[in-house]
Amino acid sequence: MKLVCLLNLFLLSSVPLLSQGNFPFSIRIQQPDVIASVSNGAVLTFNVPQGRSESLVVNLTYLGSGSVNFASRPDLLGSTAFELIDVPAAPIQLSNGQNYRFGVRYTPRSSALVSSQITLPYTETLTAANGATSTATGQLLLQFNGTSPEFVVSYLTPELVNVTPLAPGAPISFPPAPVNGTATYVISIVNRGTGAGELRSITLAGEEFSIAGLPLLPLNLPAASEIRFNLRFQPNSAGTKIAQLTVTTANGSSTFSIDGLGFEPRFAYELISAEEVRTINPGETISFGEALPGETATLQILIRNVNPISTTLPTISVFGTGFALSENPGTRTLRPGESVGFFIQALVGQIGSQRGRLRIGDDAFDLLLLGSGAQLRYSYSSSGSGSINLPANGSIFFPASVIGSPKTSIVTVRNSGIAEANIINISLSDVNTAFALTDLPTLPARLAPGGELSFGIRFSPTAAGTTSVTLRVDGTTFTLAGSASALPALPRYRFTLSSGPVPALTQPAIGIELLEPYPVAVNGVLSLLQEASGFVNDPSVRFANGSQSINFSIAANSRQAIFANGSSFIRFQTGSVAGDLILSATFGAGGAILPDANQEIVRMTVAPGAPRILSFFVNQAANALGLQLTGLTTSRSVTKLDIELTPLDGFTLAQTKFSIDLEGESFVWFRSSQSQSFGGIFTLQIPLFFSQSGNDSSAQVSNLIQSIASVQVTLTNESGSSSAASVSLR
Amino acid sequence: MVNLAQGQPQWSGAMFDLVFDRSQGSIRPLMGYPGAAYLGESIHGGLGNAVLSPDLRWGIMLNSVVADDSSPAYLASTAEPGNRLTSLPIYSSAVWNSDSSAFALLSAGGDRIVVYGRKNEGDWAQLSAIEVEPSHLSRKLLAIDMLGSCIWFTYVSGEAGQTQPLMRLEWNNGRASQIGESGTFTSMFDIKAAEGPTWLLADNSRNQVIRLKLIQATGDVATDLWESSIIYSRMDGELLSVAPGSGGHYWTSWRISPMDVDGAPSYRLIRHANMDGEQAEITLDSPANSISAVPGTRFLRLQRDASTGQILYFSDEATLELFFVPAALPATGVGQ
Repeated sequence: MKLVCLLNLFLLSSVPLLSQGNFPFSIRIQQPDVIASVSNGAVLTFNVPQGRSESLVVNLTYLGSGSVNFASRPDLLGSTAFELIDVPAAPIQLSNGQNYRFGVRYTPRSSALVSSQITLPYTETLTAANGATSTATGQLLLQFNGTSPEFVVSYLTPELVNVTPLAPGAPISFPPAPVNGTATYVISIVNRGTGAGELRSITLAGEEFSIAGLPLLPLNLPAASEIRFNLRFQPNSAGTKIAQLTVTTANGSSTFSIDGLGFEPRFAYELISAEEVRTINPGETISFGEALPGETATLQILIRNVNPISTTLPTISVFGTGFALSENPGTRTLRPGESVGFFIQALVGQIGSQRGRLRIGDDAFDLLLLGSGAQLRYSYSSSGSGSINLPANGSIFFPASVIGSPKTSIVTVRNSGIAEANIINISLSDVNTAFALTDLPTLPARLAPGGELSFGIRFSPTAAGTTSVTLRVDGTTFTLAGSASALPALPRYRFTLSSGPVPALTQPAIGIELLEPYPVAVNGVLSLLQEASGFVNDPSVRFANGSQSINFSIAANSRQAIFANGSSFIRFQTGSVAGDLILSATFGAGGAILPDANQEIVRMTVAPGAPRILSFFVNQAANALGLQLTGLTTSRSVTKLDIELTPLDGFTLAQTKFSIDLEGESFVWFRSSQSQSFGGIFTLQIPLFFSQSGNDSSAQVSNLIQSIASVQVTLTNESGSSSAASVSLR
Repeated sequence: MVNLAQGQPQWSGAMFDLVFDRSQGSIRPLMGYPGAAYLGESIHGGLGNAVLSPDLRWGIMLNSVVADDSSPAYLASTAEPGNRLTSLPIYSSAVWNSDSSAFALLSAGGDRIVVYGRKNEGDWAQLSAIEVEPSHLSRKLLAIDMLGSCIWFTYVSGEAGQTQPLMRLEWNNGRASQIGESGTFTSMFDIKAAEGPTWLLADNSRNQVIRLKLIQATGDVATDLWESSIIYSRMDGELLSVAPGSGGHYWTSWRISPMDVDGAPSYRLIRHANMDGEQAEITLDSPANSISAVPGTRFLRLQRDASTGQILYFSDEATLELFFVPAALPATGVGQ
C-alpha cells in the first residue's frame, strides 16, 4: 500500500501549486521505505483502503544561510481524514542544514475523494555579508488528497438485466436448473472507490458450481473499473446444492453463500389426432392407425413445460423410414405451463407395420404406422432345417436326392399385412416333373392378418441329374430345383411260390421278398400271364383285385412287398384251363424303372386232366328226367358221358347203362366264342325220355320215372374219366 | 319194360350265382365256379338296392339308393328283370321266406307290414297289409314263415346293449303278439323239423341261439336254448348272426375279441353240425354280415361288406374251403 501511496504522491506532486523561486527549504516526504522530494505547493495523494491509516513525514531542511523561524505549528485545513502528528512545539528556529519535521496521517472514512491543505508560515532572517539583516516571510504549502478503493460484488441474471449487489455474506441464489443443464450468473466486481485497489483472489468451494472467465489474479483494479466472470451452476442430480464464493481484495475478504436447486426437467405431452386428444407418456407407442401405401398420416404432439422454471426444449427428432417432423419448435424456451406443438408425418411405404421412434430429449416414444392391405411372406423348411425366408422369385433347392427317395419341403405363406388375403392358385408350371405339391389347402384360401397356410413340395427324382420347375402362388413365382444321383441296382428277390404243377379251381397266395433290403422305397407290379394249352385263356385267371396285375410296394430299407390289399400276400385264381400261369414282377423307384438283371418268374402249370363233375342235378317230369351237370375239363374237351340208371326193385329197364358220345358236340362248344367266357367249365343238360313196352310191373306205374331209384353219371375225355356223380331220386 | 330215349344235349356256360352288386347298382351273375369265378356283366342295372329271393328267381328292386315309402319299388323276375310283375307300395326293408314263395315289406316308418305271396308261377299278389302299433318305433323284420302267414320282427334300438322284445305277427288274428323272449336279435330262419314249424334266432345280447317251436294245437310258441350254439362268453366273442347250412345244420358268425388291448379282433364262422354240438370253423379277417346258401349247391355265400359287395363263397362240406371272387369285372362281353 505504501508504494501505491507514494506513487500517487509523486505523480500528483508534479503539479506544483506555488512558485519555488525563493523557498529556502527542501521538502522531503518520508515513509518508512521511501523518501521523495517535492516542491512547495505540491499535491500529495493518499490511497488507503478503508479501515486502515497511512502516514508520512514531511521533512523540511533549511537551505539558506540565515536562519528561519517557525512561529507556530503547521495549520491543517480541510478533511478531517487527515491529521498532523508529531508536530514539534513552536517556535522553532533553524539554521542552515537544520530540519523541521512533522507527520501527516490519513485515515479514510469512506471511499470518497477528500482533500486537505497544510500551511506553515516562516520568517527567514538573512545576514548579508555586510552584516545587514533582512527578513523575509513565506509559508510551506502542501495539499493532500485522500482516496480509497471500494469493491462491490454483484451478480447479473443471465439476461444481464438485473444487477443484484451483494453485501458480504449475502447469498447468491440460482434459479432451479435442470439436471445436467446449466444456470449461469455473471459475477461483477466493481471498484467504485476513488483509488485503485488490489483484487487478490476469488475462490469457490463446492461441487456442481464453477467459475469461468476469471482474469489472472491478483490484479490492481483502478477506481471505477470492473471485472466480470461467470459463475455456473451445473447440477448433476436433483436437489439443493450449496457452495461458497470468497472474494479477497485489499479491503479484505468477503464470502458469499451460493445455493441452487437441481431438478429433473419434465414435459407433458399430448397427442392430438382427428379422433382424440389424450395425454401420452414417454415409452408409449404412438399409433398412426392404418393407411394405404403412398398415403400420409399426420399427428400433432403438444409439449407443455411442467417445470417450475422456464425450460428450454430439448432436441426433437424422429427416426424410422417414412416418419418426418414438421413445424419443429427447435430448442426454444418454454415458460412454466407454456405449450408448443409440432407435427409428425408418416408416409406409408409398405404393407404391414412400419415402426419409428420420436425422441424429445431423453423422452422417447415408439411410432407405429400400419400399411393397409395384405402382404404375403414366404418361407420354407426342409427336414432338419429351420425356417428359411423365401423372397419372391427366390429358389428352393433340393440337394443330392436319391432317385426314388423323395425329399419334402414345407412352404409356409404368412400374411404379415393387416388385411385378409386370398390365395386362389398354387401350382407348378409343369406337372410332369419330379416335383409335386402335397397337402395343398382347399383353394381359394383366405388368410387373415397374421394367418398362415402351408403346403408341401415333394421332390421325387426319377432320373439322375438336375431339374427345375416354377412354383406359382397366384402372381408370385419361385424356382424349385433339385438334383439326384442314380439308383443302386435292384437286389435279387424271390417269390413265395415255386414253379410247378397247380390244380385248377384253386386260389393260391403269392408274395415277393427282396433278398437284401433296398435303400429307397420300391414300387412294383406283379403280373399274371396265362399261356393256355388250347390257346383259349380262362377269364377267371385273375388276382383278387380282379386284374391280371397288382401293384405292390416295398418300404425303404425293407424287404417285404406289400400289396394293394395291405397284405404281404395276394391270391389269384388258377382257373379252369390247362396251361401255364406265369407270375413275374417289375420294379421301380421314384417313377423310374429299376433294371432287373436277375429276373425271377414263377411258372405254374395246370395240367390237362380227366373231367370233374362239379354239380349234378336231376329234374323230374312225368316221363322224363332232365340231367343237369356242371363240369370241369381243363383240356376243354369231353368225349363221353356215361349214364347209369338204377331201377327200383321190381322194375326192369331196357337199358340201365348207356354212353353218349360228346366228342363232336364238345368240340363245337369249346370252339365257340360263347364258351370262352367260361374256360373249362361247362353245363350240360341232357333230357331222358321214358316209355313203356311189354307187360311187367312198370306198366302199373303211370309216372315212369318213379321206377328210377337213382341216376349216376361219369364224364370222360382223352385224359380219363371223372368220378361218378349220382343223384338219388327216391 | 321201360324204354329210354336220349334227347339232344344242351351245352352252356356255368353261371354259379346271382348277386346284387351294390357298388355298381346292378344284378350280376357269377360266372364259372368258386375257384375260377368272376362277376359277369350286369343283367339289370340302375338299382339302388335289390333283395333276391333265396332261389334267385325273383328280386325286389328299388331304383333309389335311399329306401323310403315314396321310392319306386317293384318285383321282377331275375330272368326278365326289366319286366315289372308288380309295383310295391312300401319299401324300407324286405325279408323272403325260405322257399321264395312269400316276402314281407316293412314301411320306412316301421308302422306297416305288407306281405306278398306267389300263388302260381309269376302270379304274385298282396296277401295282407297290417298297421303295427305303436307307429313311432323302428322295427326290424327277422323272418317270414314258409306259408307267408307269420312274420317275426323286433324293435330296433339306437342304444347299445338295449334289448327288445321278439314280436310275432300272424295274419289269422291280424295282431302282433310278443313272445316272452327279449334280446338283441340279429337274424332268424326256419328249419324243417318233424314236429312242426321251427325257427332258430340269434340273440346278440346273450350270445345264444334260441329255438322257437310253434305248438300247432294251441298256436303257442315254445322257446328253448340251442346249447350247441354257446361258443363264447360275452368277454371273448360276440354272436353276430345265425344262418342255415346246406345239410340241415346251421352256422353262427362271431366276432372274437383280441387277447390284448391293442390287438385286432378276428372273425369266425362256426358250423353246428346236426345240432348235436359237432363243430367246424372258418377264420375270416372281417365280419360276415350276411350268410346265405347258394341254391342248388353246397356252397354258402358270404357278403362281408355291404358297401363294396365283396363276396366270398365257402363249401359247406368237409373241406370248408373258402373262395374269393375277384373284385373287378373282366372285359368278357358276357351279359346284357
